[in-house]
Amino acid sequence: MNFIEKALANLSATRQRGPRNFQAQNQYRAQWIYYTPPGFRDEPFDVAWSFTINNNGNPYKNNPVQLDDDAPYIVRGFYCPNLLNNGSAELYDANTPSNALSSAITYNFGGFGFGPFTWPMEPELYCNPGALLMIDFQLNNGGGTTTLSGCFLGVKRRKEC
Amino acid sequence: MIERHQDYQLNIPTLPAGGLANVELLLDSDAAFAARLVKQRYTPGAPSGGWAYRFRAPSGGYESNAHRFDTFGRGTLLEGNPLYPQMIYPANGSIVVDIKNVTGVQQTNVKLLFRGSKLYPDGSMPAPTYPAVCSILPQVLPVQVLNIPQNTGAGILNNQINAQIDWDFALRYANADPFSPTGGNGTYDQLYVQLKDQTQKPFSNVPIHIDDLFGSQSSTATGSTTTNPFWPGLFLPEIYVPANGILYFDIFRSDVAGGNVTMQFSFGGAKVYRR
Repeated sequence: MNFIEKALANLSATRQRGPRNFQAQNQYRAQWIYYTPPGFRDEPFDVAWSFTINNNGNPYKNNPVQLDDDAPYIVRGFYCPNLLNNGSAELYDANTPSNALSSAITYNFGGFGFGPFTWPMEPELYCNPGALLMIDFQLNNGGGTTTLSGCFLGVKRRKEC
Repeated sequence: MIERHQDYQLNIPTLPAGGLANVELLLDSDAAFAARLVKQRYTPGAPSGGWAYRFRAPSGGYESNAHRFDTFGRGTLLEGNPLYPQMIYPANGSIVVDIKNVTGVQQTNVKLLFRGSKLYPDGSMPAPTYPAVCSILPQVLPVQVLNIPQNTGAGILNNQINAQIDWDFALRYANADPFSPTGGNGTYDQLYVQLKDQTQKPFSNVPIHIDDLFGSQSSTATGSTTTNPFWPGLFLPEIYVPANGILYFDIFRSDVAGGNVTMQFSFGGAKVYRR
């Protein structure tokens, strides 16, 4: 194990321990602490996407965001600044079948990722390697098209060598 | 100890030029109140800082040596002034407030909001919470309320937020924006909401302005004379709704202008699957 690998391993080990009495299943944990299982290392990774949608009031379902197949991906944040005042959307997790993250198509994702902030995904979403994250859009009927872009923020969970 | 989110708001319809002293905000008789934040709502049309306040702690002494604004010290204009450590007022007690009018002219519709929790003894009321084994996902429950007229009078009552048959819902935050999918939406100024649990027991003593109770997704004013908070309103502790449960909210609007407004409410948190 070279110096960098040792440093990464130490960093990972530090995160695994967490604060005293920390329990991963505790729903009231601080948002910054996430449990990395022993033998794994989390690596920051962001997934950017962009879709061009017609402004005609119709729903456009199942727009796919393809995830890499080299490691599981864990979503911890979401960002989409340009749906505000434009329409509604619905986000799904990567299960099969997928779970919707809102009970219906929702104005501006219900707040996910609006404005200059990244929205925390709490609790985090675990996605298998190569999974798809789906998004539905429904924009107002102002005519023309809108290019919507955004980003999932999170980590790839890699095995320790 | 069972905690339950609670807002108490002092409404002063008319603030004389000379201000008011020893105004009592009466607290409910069912539980003590832990105050954790105090927040001014500025009079529409008045310059920020049109009035200042001070209030008495449970011990009877004042919380500040002089009248103050939210922006003094720890607080900010949009977030209010955090109270730490919390101040616990007894059940059936009152928060005594002095209001100083710094404009020299009469003001109307002055409001001072205290946010915090009611404190109940264990076992004194139902307190559903997470099952021992569960799976949790982020979740948003949207509620669209169409064409809220300028003056709703008795209000638009009992709008529903439903948990589903197969999962519980933990309400942690909410936001509200005026948006009509068909365009041509009006603007609001005086729009108030009162959130209630399944038994219609409210989480506030009076309806609360939506810029205080919720956040807005817009960074700029949407009709209100103050800029909306650019982040969601938080409920602390979270409000746990068991499967098949319902939360209600009443809407009151007292604008004389702005036209009909379609509001998009989003109630966010987590859905909890029992396993």
